Amino acid sequence: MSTPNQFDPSRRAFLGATMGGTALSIAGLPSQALARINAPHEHEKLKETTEVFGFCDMCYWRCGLKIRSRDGRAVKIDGNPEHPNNWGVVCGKGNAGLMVAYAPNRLKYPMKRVGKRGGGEWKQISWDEALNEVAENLNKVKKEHGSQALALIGHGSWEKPYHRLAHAFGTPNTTSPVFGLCCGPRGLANMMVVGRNLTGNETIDLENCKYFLMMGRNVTESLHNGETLGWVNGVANGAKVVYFDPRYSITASKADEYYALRPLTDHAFLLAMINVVINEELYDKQFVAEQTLGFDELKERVKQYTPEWAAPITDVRADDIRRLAREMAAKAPSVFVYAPRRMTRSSNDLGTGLSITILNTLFGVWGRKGGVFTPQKYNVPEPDLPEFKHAHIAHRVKTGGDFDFSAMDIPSEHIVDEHGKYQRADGAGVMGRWPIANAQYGLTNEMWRAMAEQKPYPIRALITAGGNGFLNSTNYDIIRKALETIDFYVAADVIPNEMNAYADILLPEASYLERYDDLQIGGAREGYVAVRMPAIKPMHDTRDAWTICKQLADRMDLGAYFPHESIKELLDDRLKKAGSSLAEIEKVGILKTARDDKINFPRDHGNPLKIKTPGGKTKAEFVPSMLKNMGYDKALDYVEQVRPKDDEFHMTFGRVGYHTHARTQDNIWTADFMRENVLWIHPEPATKRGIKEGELVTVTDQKGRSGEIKAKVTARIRKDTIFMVHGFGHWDKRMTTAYGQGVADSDLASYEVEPHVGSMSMGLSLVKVEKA
Amino acid sequence: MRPQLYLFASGLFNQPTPARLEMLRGLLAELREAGPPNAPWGETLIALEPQLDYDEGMQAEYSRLFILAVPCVPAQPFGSYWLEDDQRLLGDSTLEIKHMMAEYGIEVAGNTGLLPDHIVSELEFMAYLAGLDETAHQTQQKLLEQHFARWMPQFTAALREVNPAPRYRLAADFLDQLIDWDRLQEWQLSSPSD
Repeated sequence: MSTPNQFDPSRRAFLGATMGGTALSIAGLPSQALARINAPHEHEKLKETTEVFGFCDMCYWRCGLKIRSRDGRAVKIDGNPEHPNNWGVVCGKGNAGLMVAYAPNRLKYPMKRVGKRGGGEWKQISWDEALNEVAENLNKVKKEHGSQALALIGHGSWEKPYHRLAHAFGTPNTTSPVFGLCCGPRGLANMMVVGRNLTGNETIDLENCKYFLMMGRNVTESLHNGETLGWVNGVANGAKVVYFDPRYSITASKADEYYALRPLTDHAFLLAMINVVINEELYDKQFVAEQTLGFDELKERVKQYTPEWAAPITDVRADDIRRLAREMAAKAPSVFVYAPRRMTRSSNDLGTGLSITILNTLFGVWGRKGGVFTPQKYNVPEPDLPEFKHAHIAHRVKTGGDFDFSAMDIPSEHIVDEHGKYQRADGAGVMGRWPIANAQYGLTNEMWRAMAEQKPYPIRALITAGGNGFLNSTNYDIIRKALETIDFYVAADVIPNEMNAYADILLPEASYLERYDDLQIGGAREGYVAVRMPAIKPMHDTRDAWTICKQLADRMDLGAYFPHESIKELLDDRLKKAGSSLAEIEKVGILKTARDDKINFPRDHGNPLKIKTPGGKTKAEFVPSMLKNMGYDKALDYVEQVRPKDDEFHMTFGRVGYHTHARTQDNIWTADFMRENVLWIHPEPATKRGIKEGELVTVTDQKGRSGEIKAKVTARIRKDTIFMVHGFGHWDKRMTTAYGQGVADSDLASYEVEPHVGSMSMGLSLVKVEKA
Repeated sequence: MRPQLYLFASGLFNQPTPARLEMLRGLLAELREAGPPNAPWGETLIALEPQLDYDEGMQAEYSRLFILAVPCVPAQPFGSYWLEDDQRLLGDSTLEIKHMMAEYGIEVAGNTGLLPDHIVSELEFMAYLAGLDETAHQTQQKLLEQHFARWMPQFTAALREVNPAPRYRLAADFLDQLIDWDRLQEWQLSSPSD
């Protein structure tokens, strides 16, 4: 263990010199702010322009960047034309990344809470004080309650070292909203059927696809450059677009056909499509025969789901369903049933996800040009580290797990596994709770509940790395109670928000323009590894995530898990094991393997698709055996969804092209595009309520939660549905641009739990709208 | 005495530590002893004297006013926040200060966590310039007229609005008095304009 530097306030107060500079005195007193420039004539070099490579942090697609700096200031963000995530394109959000670094409201110095938790009073402390305090408090929790009493919630690329730190500490309770609050059910469905999750940077051969059946995948507004670009190219190459959404989005306006699907009924429509494809023998017969299992059972199970059955449920005519199925089959395998980006909506998201995957599988899209390609990998080994205490949990579902199927009814009080190790507190990967939920990313919603209720066992400390529990999740009471219940909360972030307002210690992070981070390793048509380099020095007194975690690990006797002296050393070590080096990748930003059609499209070259399902099968499973073992194959069957009464609406929300989650509303440049969200409402119900364009309305859900928001009266939405853009309605006054702008959809969305996966069913909320 | 005046002003807005307050008390005694006769800050200094003891409670007040607080920081201590259209930090006005410093062979020390146009840096820069010979007059005039006079009165007005602790109310008074006084000084009026 290395010894932490001891804080010495008297020494710190009078340090005037820079690392390389010499001390300055003014009026006989030592300088407090200034130092002499060490190198002669250094200021003459100030106007030199430099360019470094990075990858974006403004959303979770991670486009490759080139960042130009002059005078120590980042001045322009461009795309890296070699990066497969964006091929040189940067969106509005990406351009506004400069204002993450230069935001006046960002967190600038390590802070310690001085008033009551959440009261909003802090004092500036040194990094040594902050890190010592965090280490002491976490060690205290470990001593009194055990290492499992720590939870980590991360959200963003910077979270990786925090996960490592928490695993080294010895807790299984690390989580990220990506699964339980966003993509979980669809990734899981793909995994169960074909053994790959198809989330993150989806491996769709967009350019060559000839038919997109888009289930609310609003690719032009919930946009990711490479994906949007590929889709646009696909359309330019002649692809037909059929788009389903209760709202006429911009993507709908670009589609050949648009269907205002009844909210939450995607599953019914898809089951009817499967029914037609099977009954009319429109499927890829060779693929189904050679590389799938369970076709006959599937056929039997979907027999009842005829287009005539689906039509009154979905508001899509039966003959349209038949025609769409036939049209797609004619273009297969260069077709794709496109899942929504976020699939935490209905009370059967697993079933919806399964039906999408099944339909894609029937069309034989896997490993085919114009369908889904098999990605390549750039093999960059992780560093050698001591084994983590709960390492076996993380990959449960992916690897087939080590479940004991004979013990289904384990009560939630059963908190340790057969090895005597603690199960995850959120129940992800735990028999008897949420066994199929991803145990690496966990169920963030259930982790908040575990903290609030202190069940199934006490969670006494929390680390958050980015994220905003309130505006990303939906049950504010649970989150507030959790934050008030635990003994110690440390938050690391670049910006202030409603969640980190509760922190006992705030660690200000350098933004993505100011730091190295661990490598970006992706699988596209080509395998790649990309580097993030600092374009400028860290602003204020901020540090990068890896350094923060390393310095905490050293203080907690966990230094063996962070064996490198610096993040640069880690990157160089990893890259050298892959036959390159940090110096080499810094010249180009990205290293790639060449595209190889034989690998990307094995079935176009006479080779079978490599499949390994969690059920241990080497063929795609239409009725996944793991789900059957757990009784969850019932998700294949349609479940009736909630319906609004005459005076109610389905509550829907989604993204817009210039904001990401709840992170960009306080960015002055993105706010310039869109400062507040508005409520989309159809003219007919609006007139009935006397609501005019721009007027303030009150939205209230069945639980009595409500908010005031301006109305956008538009025929571009169903009469039984309202919509608002996600991420607004901030109530943290520290966010001076975002504060009080619009309404938080997260405080109106449902917090019911999807009964198979444990993820949230946010779309079940029904609301009333009245003039304010 | 101008170096001491600006150094004192700079210190008032720096994070309070026991050592810094000790320095401020020393400077205050010096200013009261040797300051210009009939200086406008005479009573302010008298009122400030009992406010310069180190007090743990001042840390939270300092944070509330200048760093991080709920509801929000009322007086952002960065020139560019007040001078740039989009309130960005490290704006063109910041770089101008940085270049001015570089011309004199100085920069903001890397371990301070300050930007060149942080109020502490700018005021200390003026203190430094004031201690040089008259060749620095033009830079001082530019700093005073194009930077201090354009944002510091807004900064002090914002500070007063949130009912700050007496130390910071008096610090705002002192800064206003110093800038008003300095703008009328003979050294400035007699120096060639840009």
